Amino acid sequence: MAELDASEAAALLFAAHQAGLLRLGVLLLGDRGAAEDVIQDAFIGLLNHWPRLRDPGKALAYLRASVVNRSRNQLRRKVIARRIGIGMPPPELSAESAVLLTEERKAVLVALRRLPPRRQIVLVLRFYFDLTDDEIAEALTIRPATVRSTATRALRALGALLGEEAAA
Amino acid sequence: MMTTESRLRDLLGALADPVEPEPAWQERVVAAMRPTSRPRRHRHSRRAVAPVPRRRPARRLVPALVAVFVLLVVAGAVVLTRGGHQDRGEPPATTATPTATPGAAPPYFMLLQDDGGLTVRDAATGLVTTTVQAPEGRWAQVDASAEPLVFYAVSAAAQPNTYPPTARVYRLAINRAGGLVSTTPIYTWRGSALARISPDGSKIAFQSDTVSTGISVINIGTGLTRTFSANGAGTLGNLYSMRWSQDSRQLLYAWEAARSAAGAGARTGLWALDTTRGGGDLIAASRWVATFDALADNQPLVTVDAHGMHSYVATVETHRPRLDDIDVTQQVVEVDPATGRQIRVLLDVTHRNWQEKLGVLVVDPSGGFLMYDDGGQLIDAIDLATSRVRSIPLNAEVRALAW
Repeated sequence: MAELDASEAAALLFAAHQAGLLRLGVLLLGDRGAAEDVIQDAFIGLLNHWPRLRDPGKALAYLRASVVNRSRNQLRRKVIARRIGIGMPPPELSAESAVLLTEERKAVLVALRRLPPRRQIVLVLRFYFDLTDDEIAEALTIRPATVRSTATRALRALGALLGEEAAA
Repeated sequence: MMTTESRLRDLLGALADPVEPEPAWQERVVAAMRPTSRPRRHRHSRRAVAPVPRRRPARRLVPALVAVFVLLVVAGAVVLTRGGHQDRGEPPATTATPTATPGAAPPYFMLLQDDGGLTVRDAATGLVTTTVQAPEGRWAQVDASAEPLVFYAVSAAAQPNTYPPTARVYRLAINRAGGLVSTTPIYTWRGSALARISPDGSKIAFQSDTVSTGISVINIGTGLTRTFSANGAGTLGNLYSMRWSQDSRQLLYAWEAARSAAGAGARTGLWALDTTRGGGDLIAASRWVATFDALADNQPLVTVDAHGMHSYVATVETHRPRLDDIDVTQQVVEVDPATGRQIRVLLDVTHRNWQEKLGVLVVDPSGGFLMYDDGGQLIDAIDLATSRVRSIPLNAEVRALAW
């Protein structure tokens, strides 16, 4: 990878990881169009940062962190809007996905979207992508211990929102 | 009975497993990554970004955390060093000569905390002198006025899901001891409470919800609303922050051009809207002020003086030297609005295991002090005349600051 130029390396990374990153964006943002834009920006950002990338082998980790960071910024805006009472669209869900979701899944989705952005992100990275605490820590630029405590609290809060007595 | 974890896994799989990249999107991304589609970038060279294909403009929902603060400043050359938690920070290179003649800074500032609390703070110590309760609803925004002991604060209606929401602006007067003297309602409207009040208190600006991208400006004296709309032909993009100029005539805003939009009329950067005009096309009623890098991982904060002569950009970058450590480098530079070239470094400091957020970058009305939220529940007040930096403890997370 290190011997490729930035564009070649980025093209290879895109070919190999586009689907996974797109799914990550969709899960975090709930909107396919927004996810596509975020991932495109992440790859452009990678190209621009390439000369300063200390370890090209870490490019995927950089991309994942970039997608998470950009998605988190959008999620934070939604949280602030809700907090101050600005009317916002309901949790995004494509018509295609909505049809596929059962009432049970819709309830879990609504509860998930009520969690703070960082908790949502930790749950998605751990329970869909099965990333390790260290990998999640790298994506979120937090410490592994913080990942563990965040995951525990997030799962407990999700359980509480779903009316379960004991979660996690 | 399924556990919470298994229910969550089931949901995430149902949402994500069917998602597959579409050929049209793949083509767009690949085209955007071709060398001919991208401008060369240098670390501190901030030039307009060349348009590259994009599916559609990304939706910027509410620009609450990312603010562009614009106040009058005539800046001096500053070489900053910091004590306390600074790990790195050799005196940065200075390429400009001091030109500032700062006056006395206002004795108090108002802080809108992340938890919604609104407090008056002593500018020297950061201590709370007064907590201001919202007469109704919640505080959403705070702005400084042309008078040092007067501020404007906007509250949002208590009903969380009403749309459009009801917002009300109050004039808050404090005395010389930092105590609250009066809370006077000035104007009520239906629309975004994330509004900016002009320093003379005569106008309210907020992102319009009647057009896809645009700004509404209310004249408080007449009650008339003028709407400036964008996203016409050749001006696709996103508007995500606003700030009044000191003369209350121009509204500065950040514009991120859509990748598919071409032409100088839509370029990414900071723009100034002439609010004395009668509405219409946003870009046509605006002049371009300064450029900044819209592709940074964190959208930068930008401050520019009312005349567009000096602009400052704050950025944050992270690096992990080891798994358990995070180095957060915060940098504030002055750039030439005309060329986008870096003039001098104002702040370049790395913290170990620090928050990587960008909060507030604001210049006080005297033009002599720059306030920067460094993410550690502190505000760094930079005296542009003496180069001294002092940290003001807040013990609160910052949502907005008016000084």
